[in-house]
Amino acid sequence: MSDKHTFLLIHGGMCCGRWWRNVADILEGQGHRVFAPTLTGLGERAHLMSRDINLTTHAQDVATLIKWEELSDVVLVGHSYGGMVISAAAELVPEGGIRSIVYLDAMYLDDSECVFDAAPEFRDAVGDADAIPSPAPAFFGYDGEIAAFMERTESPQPVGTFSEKLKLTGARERIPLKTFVWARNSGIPAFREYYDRLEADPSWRTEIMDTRHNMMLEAPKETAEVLLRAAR
Amino acid sequence: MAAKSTTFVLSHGAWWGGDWFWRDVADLLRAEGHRVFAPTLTGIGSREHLQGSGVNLSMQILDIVNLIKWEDLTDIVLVGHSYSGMVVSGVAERVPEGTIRSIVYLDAFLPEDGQSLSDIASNFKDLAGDHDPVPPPVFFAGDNEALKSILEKKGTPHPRGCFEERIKLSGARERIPLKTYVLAEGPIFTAFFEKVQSDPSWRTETIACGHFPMLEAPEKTAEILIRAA
Repeated sequence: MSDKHTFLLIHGGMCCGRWWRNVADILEGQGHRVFAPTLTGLGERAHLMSRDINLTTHAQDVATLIKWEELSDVVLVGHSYGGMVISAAAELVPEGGIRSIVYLDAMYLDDSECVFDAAPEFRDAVGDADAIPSPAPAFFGYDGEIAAFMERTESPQPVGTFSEKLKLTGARERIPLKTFVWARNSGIPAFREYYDRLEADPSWRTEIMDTRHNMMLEAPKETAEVLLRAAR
Repeated sequence: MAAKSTTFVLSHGAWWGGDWFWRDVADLLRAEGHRVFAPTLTGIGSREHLQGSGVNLSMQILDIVNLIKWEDLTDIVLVGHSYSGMVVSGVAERVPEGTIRSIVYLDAFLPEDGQSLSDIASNFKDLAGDHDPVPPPVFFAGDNEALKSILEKKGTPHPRGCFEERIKLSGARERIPLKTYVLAEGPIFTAFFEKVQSDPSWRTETIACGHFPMLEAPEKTAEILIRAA
């Protein structure tokens, strides 16, 4: 096994691949390969916004990239909503494609669950609209430069990505390395619950970061270190 | 200039595109301290699952325009290969002045206002037939067997709308400070090269390889792009 890894970093809801830039620079500086695509309908792909975009679209964004770039032994990382995407993508990628899966303060839901089940406030907020607006940075405890960056790089989330239910047959559980990282100061109880659940499961590694929810913006160096530990 | 970091945005042509396509050139540019973005156009390669969504030239122009916007890119070198001569011509119309420092047509179509690729590609009818999407034509590889196997393996059918949509140009491309046309071997693109060769506002270069300089001659391609910057 080479000590150089291939990281595929999947951003959370309402944001874009650029959020990983500082982490990607650190990892690439050490010789690793990093892909941080923006999911369809978001960020620089916002011109593709439509009611047809759903969780399956985003899972295909990941699986199709792995296929066309002929990636194997990937360290697949999902932040926040990205946890939904990597869970669904694991079902689409041939075995051996993903060596390590990392939930970074991310949604770890079960078969037949969707984001609206875990966070019904988004369902209430969206009504009949095609997209869900992003919460204010202050909701996650951010101000200053990070809040300004968030506001500049956020865009509405296609509603189908939050309403489509996961179809899981256990592919993610068969990945050789599985890590859940809880951001202790994120202030969102659900992530603590996923952490507690997986901490009790010997097939999972768990870590705690002393950050709020968006650790890649707040602590890129520590985030890169967490990802490197999860890759080995 | 060499010591300064330049931002390159590389836009692939029809049928073939992705990180793999520009990898060697991008690695060479990055090794010299430059920033490189090589997005995959909607409907192609790793975005093939989006083919059903009415992909046309305007959408693929927006793929690049929005990348520039969301990444806050300025003073860039914008490179279009082959079909993406259409794309980068449209991008120039839609980004604020000053965004593009240098535009490079790499064996690429150079359209005028109101033209579509199907208007200016003499072999389009033979090549495309009635297909939609249009299957990848591997004749570009000539007798280069290694290239042929890559093109056969990595091609995606390209939505016909990208080839038949007429572009609207108002002269933004001509106002870009640096303009370069790079001609590879082969007859298809000679007319575009000759058109700008006598225009003192354009630089021209030739490269001794087939239609895929980024795959066939990555070192020379990177050198040409750096000179164009």
